[in-house]
Amino acid sequence: MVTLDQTPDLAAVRTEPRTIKPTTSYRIFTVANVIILILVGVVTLYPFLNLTARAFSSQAAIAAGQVFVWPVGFNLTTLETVVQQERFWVNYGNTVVYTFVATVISMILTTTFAYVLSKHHLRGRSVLVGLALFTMFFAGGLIPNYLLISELGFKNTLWAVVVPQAINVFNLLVMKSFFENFPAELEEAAAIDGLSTYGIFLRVVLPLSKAIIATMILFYAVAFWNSWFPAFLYMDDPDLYPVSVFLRNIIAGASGTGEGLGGDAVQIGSNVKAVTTILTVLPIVCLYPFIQKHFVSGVMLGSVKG
Amino acid sequence: MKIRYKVLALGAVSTLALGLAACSGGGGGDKPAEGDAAQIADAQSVGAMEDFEVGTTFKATEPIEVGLMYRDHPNYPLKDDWSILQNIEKNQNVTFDIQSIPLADWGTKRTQLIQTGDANDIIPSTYVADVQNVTAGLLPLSDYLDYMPNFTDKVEKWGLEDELDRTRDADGKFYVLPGLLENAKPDYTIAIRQDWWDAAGLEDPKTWDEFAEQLQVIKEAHPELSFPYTERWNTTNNNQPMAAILQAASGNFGTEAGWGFGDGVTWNGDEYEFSGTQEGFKELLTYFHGLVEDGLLDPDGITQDDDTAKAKFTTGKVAAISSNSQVITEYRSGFTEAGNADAVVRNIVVPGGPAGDVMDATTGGHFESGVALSKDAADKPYFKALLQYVDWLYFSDEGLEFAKWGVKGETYDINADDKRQLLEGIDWNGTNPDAGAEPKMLNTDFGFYNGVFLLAHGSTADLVQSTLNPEVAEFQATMNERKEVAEGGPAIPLTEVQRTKIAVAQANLTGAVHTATAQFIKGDRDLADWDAYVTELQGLGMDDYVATMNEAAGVK
Amino acid sequence: MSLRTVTRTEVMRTAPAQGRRATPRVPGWKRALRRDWRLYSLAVLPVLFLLLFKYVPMLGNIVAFRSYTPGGSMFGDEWVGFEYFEAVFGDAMFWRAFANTVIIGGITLIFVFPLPIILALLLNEVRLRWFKQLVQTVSYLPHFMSIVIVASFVKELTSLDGTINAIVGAFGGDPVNWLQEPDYFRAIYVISEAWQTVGWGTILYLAALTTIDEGLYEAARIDGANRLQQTWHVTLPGIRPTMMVLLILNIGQFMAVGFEKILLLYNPLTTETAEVLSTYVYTIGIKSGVPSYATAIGLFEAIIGLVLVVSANTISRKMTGASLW
Repeated sequence: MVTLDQTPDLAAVRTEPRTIKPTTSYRIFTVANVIILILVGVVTLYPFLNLTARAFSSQAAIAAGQVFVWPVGFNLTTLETVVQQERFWVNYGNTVVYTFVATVISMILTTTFAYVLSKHHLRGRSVLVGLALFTMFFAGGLIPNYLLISELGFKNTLWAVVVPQAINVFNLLVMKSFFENFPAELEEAAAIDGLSTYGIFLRVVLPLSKAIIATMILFYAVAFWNSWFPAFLYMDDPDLYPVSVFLRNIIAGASGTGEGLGGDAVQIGSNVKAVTTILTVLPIVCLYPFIQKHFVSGVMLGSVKG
Repeated sequence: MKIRYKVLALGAVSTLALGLAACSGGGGGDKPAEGDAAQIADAQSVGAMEDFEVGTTFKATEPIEVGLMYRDHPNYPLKDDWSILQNIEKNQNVTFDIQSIPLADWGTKRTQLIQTGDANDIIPSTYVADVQNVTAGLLPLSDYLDYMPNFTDKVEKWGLEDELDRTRDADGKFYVLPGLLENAKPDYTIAIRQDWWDAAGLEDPKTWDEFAEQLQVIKEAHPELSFPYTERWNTTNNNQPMAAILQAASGNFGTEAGWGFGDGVTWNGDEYEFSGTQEGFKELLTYFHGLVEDGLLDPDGITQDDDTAKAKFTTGKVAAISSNSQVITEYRSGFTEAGNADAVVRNIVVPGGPAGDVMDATTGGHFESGVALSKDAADKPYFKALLQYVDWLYFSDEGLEFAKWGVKGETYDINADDKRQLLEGIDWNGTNPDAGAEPKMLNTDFGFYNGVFLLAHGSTADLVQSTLNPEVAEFQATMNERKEVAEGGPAIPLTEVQRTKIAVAQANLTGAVHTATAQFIKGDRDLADWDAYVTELQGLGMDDYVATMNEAAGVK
Repeated sequence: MSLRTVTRTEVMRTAPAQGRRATPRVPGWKRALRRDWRLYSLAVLPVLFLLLFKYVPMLGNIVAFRSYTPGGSMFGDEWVGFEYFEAVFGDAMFWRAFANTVIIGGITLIFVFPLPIILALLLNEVRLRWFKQLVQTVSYLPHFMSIVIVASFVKELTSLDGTINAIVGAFGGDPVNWLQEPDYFRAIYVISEAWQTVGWGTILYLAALTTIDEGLYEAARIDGANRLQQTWHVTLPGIRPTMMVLLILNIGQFMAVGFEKILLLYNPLTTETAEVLSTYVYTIGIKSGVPSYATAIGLFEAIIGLVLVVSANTISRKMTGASLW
């Protein structure tokens, strides 16, 4: 049984032993590649930098269109207005809890189900896949869902937010595909060694599937982190909301979606959307590098002991 | 990974929502059963006062807890220790079971709660149109007017019976107690750079044509402007161009447009005709198209975001923009932030048009956001007391004053000029000169002047005016003085059958009119092709639609 | 087991079949349960979840066929049948929205789907670890920007005094408000979709790339394959299962053209090319007094989606061997 825990340095693997010298066309390609990637990087980074700059710029500078990648008239006013509210922190804490619990539940359900579905010899497998797939297209609608959650007593609890969206069929099917391509030899070898299905799953398949598991954790975590609709739908206690609902509400108040009661609009800068984006995005952006190191190559066929 | 859930969810909720009411139309629907007053049994009269009438201060005979759907505005989040809540508990013997819903999607959630029967007793901040399709989950308040003396008194005093009748459903009942206004409160108009107008020796334009001429003068005097005039309010409330100014102007052209377009038919004195093909509508579009053609109106203004529009104004790129009493403060602070101390901003009185000086029926109306009650409220033991409480707080002079100003001696007092003034250290929207350095806010810290407890800014002319700054007060007074109000026409209570028949046509016609409006104004479509436009509308079922509306209104 | 020299043809044949098992004989129920009860046990919770939280509410969707009376049960009282569907199919505006949906969905699929793959492959060729990770991280930032923000960026860029017109002006053209032109709406929408999703889309492919057996690369190289040939014969086949799954799923979802983004980007001047089924349902839903009209459209969309997925799956299985089931 072999596991591999270091990130394979593809560059290193490629350069030794080198039996082919880099051709001219390859060199040109490399240069072109770098240029393209730089362009991609710039195009995707610039708006984000611009947004960050706006979050800390003065209203006048923003209105005059003077803000590019650096704040003009640096100030923290809008940011302060948002984070000074106690409820902001309460809700932020909620988001962290909901995201964590939801991701755990989702990963457990999705991973186990994906594994089961990846076994082609299983009788009734197509029915199960169909069962999941069908729900991608047909859904119950707001009222029936609301009534169900209400009946279950989940309203105004954590469960209303973490349970109903637990299995994302898209993620499920992608994960199933990864499991299908997991080398059968390793599982067979483990079976010969005396492991049960559970054992094979937990001790062989999962550890060697870090890449897809890490990816799915990221996908689910991000989705739950940004989600606001279920909380909005099934809760009516402001202290239970995730921060996404809170921030959405701030933006609505700022645009005077109230009734022009004059003085009703939140006295907040027009860069409130920029500020809320920064507040929501930063934690997730910081999460990715930690996930990245788990993109290990799960398997090296050449190392299976004969 | 696309989230279809939301799409289907939205689709389903809207349809189901509408389904409820569509079916509420039920039997008959010919003659409104106006005389049907309901009686409340003793079992539902816990806490009710024996002799409750106009002038009585409501106090429940025993403490009751009523359900309240609370619209949580981020500017004044609900606090348990608010003065308003404490006073209501002390003086009215009423406490609340709160169902808190964020402002951001208030409408969606309200509709859904009503449909699933989960709505709390009191549903505030509600327009008649908002809940038109879910009335099956609401209490038919028209049956209980006997228990609401303050409401009926004001309706009578201010002559609002006809307007109220127009809100009745096909079954002859109405489900929302609208916020009542003694005087109409027109709000939308155009803000101009008064300093530039003065420099050019121009006075307020009396007609739209005059305004166009003035824009030309300004354009020549200020060549650095990209355009003299830009527009906003294109994306709020239905996808339609320049909604606010088109509504404000439309009355003067004898039609209904913009946010006032509504159901698409205007009363012409004898019958309803389709607003989008009226002569006045064509003149309205011709006028604004003329502005675009002459380089006076920014074509971007037909579709741009409000923030972009505002920025153009406050950075001096344009000289005029749509406005109301709230955003003008934003414009002014925008100028201050930009360091422009010379700019003077003023809202002009809406100019008159070919049809004279007229406000369309909605602008000149006397109803505002109001309150509805959940159907289940009728089964609660405190039902009668609930009605009395609602009547007192939202419609009695005493209740309105309390909800707006608070408690005399605690939040406000009468000053030397015999006017109400907030106490030192308390402010609301900058209206208190004695506010001091870091004042408490009347709404944020005390809970008063809060749309959930206060309707129509106080309803009575006295209360409404009491917090208006002088320029707004003058604007409203002049508008009310100078303009007449277009006749609204009779009610159009559609039965379920009729509603089904015209549903798709109405949506498609409205969409086509909005698109054509934008195209004609911009010049993408030639006004000379008006007939082709009319034919297009006919193809979408316009004639049948108008006929059905007239039929429901009892015309001919 | 030691590595032996693998010929190129063997690489080509084994690579696509990586991980593919021969389809075994499916046993009878008794045997299946006896042999695989552990597997079935793992599936119990997820299936229960699906049944309870997805299928129970689905029964409420019957409203499309029924007339809903409040006070009656959630399941409606009378069968009104296909009347609603007739109304839908006779509505010219519905067909316009349908056509727009198909066109925009199709363009998105053709242009936006391959981009993450290409980017993943390009990233894969980079030798400098830090550069690769930097570009990777930066490229998925747009995914985190809310649709509202993205829409306002697009509006700014395309406005009369925005960047795009500045460039056009530099080439001597006249400024145009691009978002007001129905002809350009699709392009603007697709480009903004591409921008927002390309980086995030590479994550899955990069994960897939790590599952490719290193030995295959070595074998190919020993065999004399250059980078391009290695990519064609090892890399692409290696990520093919992921590609096909994503392709099938995207085809199935192609009718669900972004509701919120279109709602934010369109305006009365562009509804002709911009109005799609989801926004049309939204408009009709708000205005119409017919309960089931919008649900009927929703059902129609769903059926089409399902049919597309099944067809795509079948075709994929026949052509490449990879399929969803």
